Amino acid sequence: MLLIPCPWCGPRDESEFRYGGQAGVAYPADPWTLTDAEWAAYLFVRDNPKGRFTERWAHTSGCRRWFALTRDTTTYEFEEST
Amino acid sequence: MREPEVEFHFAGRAYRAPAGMTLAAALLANGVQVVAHAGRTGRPRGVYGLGLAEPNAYVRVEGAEPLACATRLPIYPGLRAWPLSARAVLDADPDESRYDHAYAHCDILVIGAGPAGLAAAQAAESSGARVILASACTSPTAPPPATPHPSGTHPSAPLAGGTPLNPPKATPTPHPPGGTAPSPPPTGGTPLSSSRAGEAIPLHPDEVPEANPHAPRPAAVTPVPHGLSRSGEATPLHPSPGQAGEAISHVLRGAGVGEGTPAPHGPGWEGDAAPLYASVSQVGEANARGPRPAGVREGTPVPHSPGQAGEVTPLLPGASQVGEAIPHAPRPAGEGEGTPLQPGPGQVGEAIPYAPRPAGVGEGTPVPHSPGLEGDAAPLHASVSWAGEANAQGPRPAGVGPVPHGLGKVGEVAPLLPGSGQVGEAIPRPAGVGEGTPVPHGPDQAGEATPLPGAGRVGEAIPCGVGEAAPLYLSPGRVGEAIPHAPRPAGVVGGGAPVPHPGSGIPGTGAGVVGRGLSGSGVRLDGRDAGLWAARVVRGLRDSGVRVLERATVTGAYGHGLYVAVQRLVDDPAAPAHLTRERLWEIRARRVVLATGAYERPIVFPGNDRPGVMAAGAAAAYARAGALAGRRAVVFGTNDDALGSALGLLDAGVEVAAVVDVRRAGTGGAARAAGVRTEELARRGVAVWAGCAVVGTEADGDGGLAAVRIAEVAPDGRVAGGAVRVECDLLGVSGGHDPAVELFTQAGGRTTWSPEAAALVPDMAGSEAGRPTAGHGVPGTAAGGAPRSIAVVGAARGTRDLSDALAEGAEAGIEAAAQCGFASCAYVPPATDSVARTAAPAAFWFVDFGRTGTAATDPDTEAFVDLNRDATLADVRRALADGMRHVEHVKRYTTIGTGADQGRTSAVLLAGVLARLTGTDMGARTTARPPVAPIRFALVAGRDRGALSDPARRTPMHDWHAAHGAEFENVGQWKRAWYYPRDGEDMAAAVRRECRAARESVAVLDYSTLGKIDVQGADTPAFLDRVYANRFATLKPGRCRYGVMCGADGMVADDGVTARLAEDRFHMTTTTGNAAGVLDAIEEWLFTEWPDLDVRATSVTEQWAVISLVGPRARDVMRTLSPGADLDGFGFMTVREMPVAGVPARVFRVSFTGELTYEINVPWWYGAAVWRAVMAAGAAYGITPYGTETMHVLRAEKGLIVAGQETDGTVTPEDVGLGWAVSKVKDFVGKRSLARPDTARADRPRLVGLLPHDPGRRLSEGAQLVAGPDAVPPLLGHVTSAYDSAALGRTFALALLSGGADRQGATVYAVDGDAVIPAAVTDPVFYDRDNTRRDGGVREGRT
Repeated sequence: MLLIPCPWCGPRDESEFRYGGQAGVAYPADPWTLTDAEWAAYLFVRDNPKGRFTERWAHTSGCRRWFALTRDTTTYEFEEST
Repeated sequence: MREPEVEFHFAGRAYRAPAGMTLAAALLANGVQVVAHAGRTGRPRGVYGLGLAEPNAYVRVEGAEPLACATRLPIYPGLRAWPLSARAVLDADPDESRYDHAYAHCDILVIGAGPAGLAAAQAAESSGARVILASACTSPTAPPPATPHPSGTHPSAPLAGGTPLNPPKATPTPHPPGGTAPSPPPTGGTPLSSSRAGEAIPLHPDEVPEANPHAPRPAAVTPVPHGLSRSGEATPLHPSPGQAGEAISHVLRGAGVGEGTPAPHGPGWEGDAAPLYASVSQVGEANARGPRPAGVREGTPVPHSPGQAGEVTPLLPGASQVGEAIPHAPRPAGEGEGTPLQPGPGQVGEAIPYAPRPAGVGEGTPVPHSPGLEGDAAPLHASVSWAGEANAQGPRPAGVGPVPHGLGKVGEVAPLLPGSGQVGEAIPRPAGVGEGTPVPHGPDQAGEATPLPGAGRVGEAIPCGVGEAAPLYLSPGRVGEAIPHAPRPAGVVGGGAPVPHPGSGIPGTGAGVVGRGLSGSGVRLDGRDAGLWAARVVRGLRDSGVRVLERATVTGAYGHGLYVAVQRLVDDPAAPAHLTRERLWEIRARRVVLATGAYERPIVFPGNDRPGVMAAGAAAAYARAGALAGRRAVVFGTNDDALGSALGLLDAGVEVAAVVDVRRAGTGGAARAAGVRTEELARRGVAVWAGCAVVGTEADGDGGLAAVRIAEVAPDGRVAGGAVRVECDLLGVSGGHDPAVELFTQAGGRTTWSPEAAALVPDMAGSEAGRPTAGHGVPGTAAGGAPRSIAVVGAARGTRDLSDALAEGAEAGIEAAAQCGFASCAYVPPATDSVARTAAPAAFWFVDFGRTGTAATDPDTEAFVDLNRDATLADVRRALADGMRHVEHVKRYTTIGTGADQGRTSAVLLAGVLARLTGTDMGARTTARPPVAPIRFALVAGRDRGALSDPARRTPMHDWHAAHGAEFENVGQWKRAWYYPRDGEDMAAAVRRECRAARESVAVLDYSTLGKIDVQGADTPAFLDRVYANRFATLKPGRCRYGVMCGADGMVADDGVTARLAEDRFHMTTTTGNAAGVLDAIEEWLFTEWPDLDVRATSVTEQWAVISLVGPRARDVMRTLSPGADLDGFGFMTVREMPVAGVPARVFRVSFTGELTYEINVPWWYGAAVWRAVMAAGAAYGITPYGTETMHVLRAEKGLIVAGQETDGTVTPEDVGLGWAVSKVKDFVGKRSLARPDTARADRPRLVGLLPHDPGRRLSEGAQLVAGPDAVPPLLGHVTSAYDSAALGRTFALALLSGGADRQGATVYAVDGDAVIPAAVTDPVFYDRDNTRRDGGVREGRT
């Protein structure tokens, strides 16, 4: 079980968190300017790298805040969060 | 009298053995050789190994365990075990509430309490780090096990009938140097030491004080294995509470041995390896039967010439010699401290163990060794000497006797003796022997033995009280092999040496207590017996605040330094129910030191599965613990530890007929192998056959081992010569040691082949550099494959020598502490006296006869690679022939490594066999996954079972519902009233009645579970416009609106009514089960996309109790509850704050039934009171409480959907008839998705109503819909809700039907099991389509 460094609460068990997938995928400013394919890509297509990956987490059983962390998907190590 | 033993049953027969033994040890002690039959071949099998590394001995424990491993199961009174049947059957209810969980954090977790682990823990603790030490053993200071002490004997009181430690005999009993003379032993006793007798507990005076504190442990409960006691060394504390106090006093140590008195026995204690404990018993038996045969022969000239081989008499190093010398026993306690006992000849004179040993020998008489040693490979026949047919027939005194079975006898090949000449002399038949002295070893054993059958063997009992009395501690596994017989300089295996690892149990000890491996092993650390050193270290660690988890097996390494350990606390299922039986620990560690030891590897050869064939280290360990697996042994190995095990067996009184070493003289390893241990063996009359292997076995009538065949082999395993037959009933096998790397690999580590260790060892590359110096203990993997936060030390990384293991442990402990930010300390590991280095082991996998003959005669069909799976070398060859190459493929093809021991005795073996058969380099072994050892589900569940398995949410009115006969259903975590049966009503009748009341008069529903979210802030209207498909900004304060919420994908996520309480404040409701999800979604949008909006959302679900008052007479009831309120002006879809039954309430005029409804929201705490007031106010109208089933019928009659029932994440608002709620004007989450062509397909699912042609037939929810009665695809949709309606007088259903809008009036068929039910497609609103009833009753002129 991951030990996730919540920026507000410190390191806590993964079971207290909700996973939010890849970070940095913004809701399109104007969805209507996107083609269906582009819209579908926003909805469903995410990176799945081997190595560094920045993900979102929500500390749902704690402060309930969202934050992003960069993790190495092969070692599970988190980089120092900023 | 004392009740030293426990009675238990196996296969329906009663046996007795000292408490604290494992079942495996107890069975061996009772001479039970066959404990199981192989699943595939049906061949008999016996105990093979120790602890976790056990492929054969699995049993069913009546009333408790469907599958238990005998090598890890402590015996207890009343234990009834059976050989495992074909299927594991649980014949008893699971014992509930006996398991719990605990959590801990630390800087450094040290797993394994062998020398390396202890050094690491000590070093880390010294640096100031918080340390947790997980040990499979029981610690010395643990609460004593419970064994009622029969007599409150005074400490110094001799035990009645006790065992004299020193037989009142004239035998010279060496007094401890400088120590007090041993006091006279009690008379008339059994030669067994009192310790044997449960109570005898070898408590050491020193221990006393500590022991007491923990005393109060209810007897039966004893978590602590008593094993120790048995073993003299261990200090067992004694369990029983009662004892505690008193026990302590009983230092049973020999009678006289009181406090501090150095007890005379157990050489083992002293640190020199000599003692043989077990032998005691045997002795006993031997005696019992009379004069010792062999040796007995007075003056029989012992012919030792090779030529004579066959005929003659054997001499036994062991027993016979003993005669006068009283070799072992008397090793005075005092000596323990500091008296270095070296086996050396020189000492002999002093009564040290082997001393008596043939004068000749000691003196430098050439010992007959094997030719191999001499440099030529010829098998040797030292055996000659043993031979002697005559003897063969004589009674075989337990290990003691000079039992003659000679190889020579049988030998087909004539062994040759290298220097026959030598032999002759060598056979130093001790003068003494000749004299017919029947008494073999130790004075104690002297003539009067009263050997108990099984118990008898428990020789060890020899209390150790001596000097330090520290119990030992180490992990059991280590026992056997580890640190084998140290004194012999040769090899001590490091780090707790080879052996099992955390979870293994020690033979003889319940939990795997005692580190018998150390204590009595003769190894000395910092000048004291290693066992005492270990005990002292553990005590010191505890005193320093280190948490020592005893009897804890670490079963898994998970992410970020999470380790899970299973701690066994109480074994007897009959123990009081309030006692926790096992505890699951979740430990977070920043750094981990693995000192998990190693498992002894088997060797593949025909007949390697017979009962009597065991891991050499295990056999020695059991023997040392008093459970002799045989009387006459052959040891077959590839490494120095095998030689050590042979010495261990000798020490325990087992006759060793031959030691077979595949290594040849002359090669580097063998040269050294022929060193100290070999010389020692030779001195004791045992020849080492170098360059040979056991190539076959023979069984006796019961299937047990009767003899082995030995032949010369090439280094690659090919048989190179004829075989010689040697009788024996025990064959110790040691193919080397495989580091226990399960945890290392689970954490991401990889293994690599080490030619030096002849094993797959942890690949530590990458662990030296780049380790973070701080962090969360992330066990990530560096480039080289070693998890950065993990250090592996001792035998677990293939280290063989004790001094190396200690140094590794110390270094790892200091480094781990430094990585955690603690200043490095100057810890120096204990000094060891082990001088010689062990010689390199050989990589030897199987005896190769080549592939000859038919299957019936192919020896490979009897050469087992995996005993547990009953898979043979022939199976592996077949797998290769069929194209398998990779070890993982062969594993699956043959099942090797998939058995109960999870490949601990076969995985590496398989990898080696494959490498050899395919001519490739040694590759990887199969993957080990968690858990390392089986964990029962009950433990995983812990306290989270029954009512505690999941939090149960109850409304404030719950008790009222229960008191009024409600049946409940689970909705999420909520317990909701389902229906309220009256007078024997069934559910259907109750629901009809409740429905009628709601439609015709008044009924009431507890709707407190409704999800409620208070949304506030200036931007709330805009926010709601974004998350709802319909418009909320236009909603006036005081009004309510039904809203439908979509995901970004445009699919319906939830729905509900939201009211505007004020300009900037809304009361949102959600489906009961979606409340948390909706709040999460709202927060996610607010936090991640629209942080600029001034909106806050808070769950108020449990702040408001909701009473839904429904029906044409609802208004009448409200008038009573809220006299004076303007109910007539209280319109539909509005909300008012008004007192209800005197309580401030928010009342919503909404309707989920089509009837006039007041949803009365009151503060949670008033819920029950207002509910009662409502019931009282409605009594005049026959107010009827209704549950969720009626609620569903009523809403379905109105065609109202339930999110999650009519929706499944793939339907749009339009699909479920909510197109009207989708704003055409504003944008909202998901709207873009609704513009895709797919959402406009004509054949999209559409919510419809279904009326079965048979009005009495209720469809099944989930039934698939098809177009025709032949029930063939395409599937058109499915039934989402189906009920029997009182209002309609028939059944009806809601369904999602492809193109449903165009199928009105058509007939579709619902496939319900074997039935195909026709139904007409209708509008989904069945009742009051014009909404005439929501304001109360039918208005004139409308229907």
